[in-house]
Amino acid sequence: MMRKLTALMAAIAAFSLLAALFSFSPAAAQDDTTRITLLHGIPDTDVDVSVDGDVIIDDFRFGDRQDLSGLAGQTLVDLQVLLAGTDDVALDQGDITLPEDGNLTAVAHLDPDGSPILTLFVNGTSEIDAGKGRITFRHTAAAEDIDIRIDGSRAINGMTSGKDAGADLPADPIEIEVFPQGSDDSVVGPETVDVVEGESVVVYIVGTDEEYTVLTDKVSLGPADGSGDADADDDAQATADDDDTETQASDDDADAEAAADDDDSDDEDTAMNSAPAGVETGNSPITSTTFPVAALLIGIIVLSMAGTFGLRRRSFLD
Amino acid sequence: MTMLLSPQVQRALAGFSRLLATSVCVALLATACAEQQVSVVLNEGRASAFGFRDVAPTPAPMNQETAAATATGSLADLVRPLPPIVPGTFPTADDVNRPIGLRAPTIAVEDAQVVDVGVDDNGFMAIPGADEVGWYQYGPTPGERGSSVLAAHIAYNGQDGVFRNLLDLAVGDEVVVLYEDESEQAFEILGIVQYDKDSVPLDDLFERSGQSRLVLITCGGDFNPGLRSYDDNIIAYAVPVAST
Repeated sequence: MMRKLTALMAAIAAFSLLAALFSFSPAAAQDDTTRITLLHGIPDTDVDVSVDGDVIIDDFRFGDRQDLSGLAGQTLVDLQVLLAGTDDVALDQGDITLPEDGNLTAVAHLDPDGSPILTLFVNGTSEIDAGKGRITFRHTAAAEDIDIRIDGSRAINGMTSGKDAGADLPADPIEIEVFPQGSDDSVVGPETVDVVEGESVVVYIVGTDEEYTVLTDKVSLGPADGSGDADADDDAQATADDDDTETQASDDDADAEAAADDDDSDDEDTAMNSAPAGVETGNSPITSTTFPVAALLIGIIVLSMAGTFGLRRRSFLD
Repeated sequence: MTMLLSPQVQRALAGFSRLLATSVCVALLATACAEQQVSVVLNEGRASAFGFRDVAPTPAPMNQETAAATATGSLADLVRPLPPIVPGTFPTADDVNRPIGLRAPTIAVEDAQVVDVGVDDNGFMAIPGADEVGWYQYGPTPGERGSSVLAAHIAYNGQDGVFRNLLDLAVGDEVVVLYEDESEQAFEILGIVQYDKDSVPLDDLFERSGQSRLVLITCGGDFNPGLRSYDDNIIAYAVPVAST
């Protein structure tokens, strides 16, 4: 019994070490992790961003993103957006105080009149049910109200510029189309978008009536780890293809696609998935374990019968 | 008495005593470890090599710069570039090297087929038939970072499931995963744990970050005929073996 207790004590100790690897401790809460992203949503407009007269972001282009999480809670005095390399002010925001916490995306875009504007969107980070992904549409185009159809059915009706709407959907591809409200002439799509299980995809409708397009982003939890520089990422991608056995080998073509896929896996935590409710792996009793018990009983019965029979035979012969 | 027993009955007796010992172990440990039931956990040395888990990178100090930091050089330093979005592109599902087969010779799994599974209508992991293994397709493929999940029945509709003998796995046993690109990867078993289903650490088992690890899941413990379900889950934990 002592040997068994010792073995059990060893088992308990080993169990805690196993726990360290397989993280038995409660998962860290994923709320209250501040993330502020700045997104450039105005086509053909390279800009510099200045605060209090000094440029803090230069050569900021359509589709570019910057992580402003480090400035959370700070007041940016006299924030201005200038045409790149010039003193021409495209957008004069004045003093802006960034929120202290939360998950937000600030988008520089055109309003329905075609004027540059900055809109702050809140990114929901609640856990997504297993088997589903989150998709959010944001109207950041120089257009009036829009309708959005998913798989041919109108899903969003009359969304106004600067607003958004989203849903958690089964993790399957969907076909999206964007229309001016009430019109049947689509301005974007049909396009196939993968609803990614456990992740939150945001589709920004951007542009002007010369060309509407989309910028598709994923909601990240927390600040980027600092290696999000585009050049570094391309270099990392080149070496990753060669020798990192863990990274998925991307196609050689579509560098843009590779960059879009790899930033998430390398730098950003985008997982908001829930575990399934359980694992039900058995609906009938295992039959084989009853065999040794039955065999034991049968064996005992047979042996006792044989013994009795043998004794009787001896006395008979005697 | 032992001499009179046939080899078959001797084996049967041995199997029964082992079941009894396991139950005793579980019962004793249950009193010592109130939250979880543990059946067999060994290999301290190996597990201690992984005595830490990945920690998310510490965010840069936020809000510590006082408003007095008027030098915008420091402001610019707090802004980090991110990879740009290419207009008109959409996220596509990553190309994944899916697992298609499993070998676990120490528990009589010779060449089991592995199929992609998701969740059923009730949000439970979908499990294939008795002679297949389900790979949770929303998590990593075995060998990638995070916890990869393979589940199979212990028994289904009266037939033995692929993981009928999962509890017989020993620490140090190897299982091999076969992939659709015809490659293979061996995994070493670090521990086997039996949980009451109320206590299964599902969030950990299905976590997608952290070190590459593999979990094999089946059911066990008492069978509830009314619910047609078992009381416990049996989890075998494994890590990839470095290729030689």
